[in-house]
Amino acid sequence: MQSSAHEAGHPTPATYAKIASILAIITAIEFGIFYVPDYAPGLKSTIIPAFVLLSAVKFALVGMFYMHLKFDHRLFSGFFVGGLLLATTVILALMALFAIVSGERIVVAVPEETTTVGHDADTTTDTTTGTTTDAAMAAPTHEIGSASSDEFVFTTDSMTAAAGAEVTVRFTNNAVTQQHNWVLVQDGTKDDVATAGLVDPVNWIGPDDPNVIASVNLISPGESAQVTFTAPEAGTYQFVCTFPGHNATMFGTFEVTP
Amino acid sequence: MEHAPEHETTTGIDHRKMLIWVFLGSECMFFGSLIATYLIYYGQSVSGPTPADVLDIPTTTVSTFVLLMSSFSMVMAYANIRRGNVRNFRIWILCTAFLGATFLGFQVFEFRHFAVHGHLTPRTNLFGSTFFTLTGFHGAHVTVGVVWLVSLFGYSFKGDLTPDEGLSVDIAALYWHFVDIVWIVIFTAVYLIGVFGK
Repeated sequence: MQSSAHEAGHPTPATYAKIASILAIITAIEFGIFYVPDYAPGLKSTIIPAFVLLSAVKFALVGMFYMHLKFDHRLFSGFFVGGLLLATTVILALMALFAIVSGERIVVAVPEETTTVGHDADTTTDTTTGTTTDAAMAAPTHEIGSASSDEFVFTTDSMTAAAGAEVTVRFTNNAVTQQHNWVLVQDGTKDDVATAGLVDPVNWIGPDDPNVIASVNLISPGESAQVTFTAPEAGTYQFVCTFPGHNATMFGTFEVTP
Repeated sequence: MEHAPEHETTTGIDHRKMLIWVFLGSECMFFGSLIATYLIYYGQSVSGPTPADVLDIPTTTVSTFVLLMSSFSMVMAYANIRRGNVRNFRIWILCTAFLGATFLGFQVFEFRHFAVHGHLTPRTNLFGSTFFTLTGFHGAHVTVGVVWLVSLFGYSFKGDLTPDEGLSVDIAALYWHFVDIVWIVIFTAVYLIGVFGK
């Protein structure tokens, strides 16, 4: 054991108890401050800086007195503060980076109109880059995209169409680095379809998956693609990106009306 | 327990104490990355629930108080082992483990409440994913700490924890206090600011 001089000046239990009292009081103050804007709305802008300041005081008290950094070898403070500064830098740098890259989220509204041109055209997939086919232009097109950041979400979580109508869905990948697809599936099967798609590392859609109704194959950032298909019978369906892991958050409901 | 004598290290500092501080420095970066991820995706979820919908400040204030007080009981355990009062050390170390387990109980209650009543799971939205990852890893650290503290309580009956061998307690205490200060940051960034900044 290092019964060296730098440990000789450790605080007494009375000091530890004083620090504990201060920590408890600060926590109570934080709790009280939380409700201040209910009574003094003018002080709202000062609340978050107050939270940060009080948190920093608690952090410093525990570090200095309970972890003995105030009394121990300065090398220990170097290790800890060094890691702390690096972590803080990473947090600030990442927040700045994402704020720059993400910018304003582009939300493309889903048109309300649905097509009623009914014929038994087979479900087809037409993947293009920034172009559409003449056939697809003939019917109203449902626009949907991925988030402009690399967030795993679509720009909308609900779409509608009329049963038996010819539907064209045009999917635009607005992401920065992520590839996405758009797959219409039976209700409640989005995760099953994503799992089945693991056998296809190109489009992440399982061959002959009975739960898949229509799909836009995997596209890269900046690309658009579309699919034209006949809307199935009335009911609730799901659309999802089946790229591994994306299905957890990147999905929505596709309602087919009678 | 055989410890390397002081003169055998080039710095004059016990290697184990040096190691725990290096480890805690790396842990700063570990939790820093998780907190950064939470903050980056704060307010980015396209669907609810949001922090304001599910987080309960009064309950978490109590669990925060419990964890802060566990740090106090931990330093009291350390102070007693340094004075050779093993009996009081056992009382305080058990008290610390109990408070740690109580904090974990709050967390289990909170997680279950969120999942059952708040409809928030790690798969629900970005808030759920980042929240459960951050607080879950912290909870795992607390769990390791509780096991560590109970182990020290057991070692005290083998006669291993003499005042001169108190470094084992010192190292465990440093880990425990680190878990506490991480929660101080999480309580502020995730709970207070998370709900207030709705």
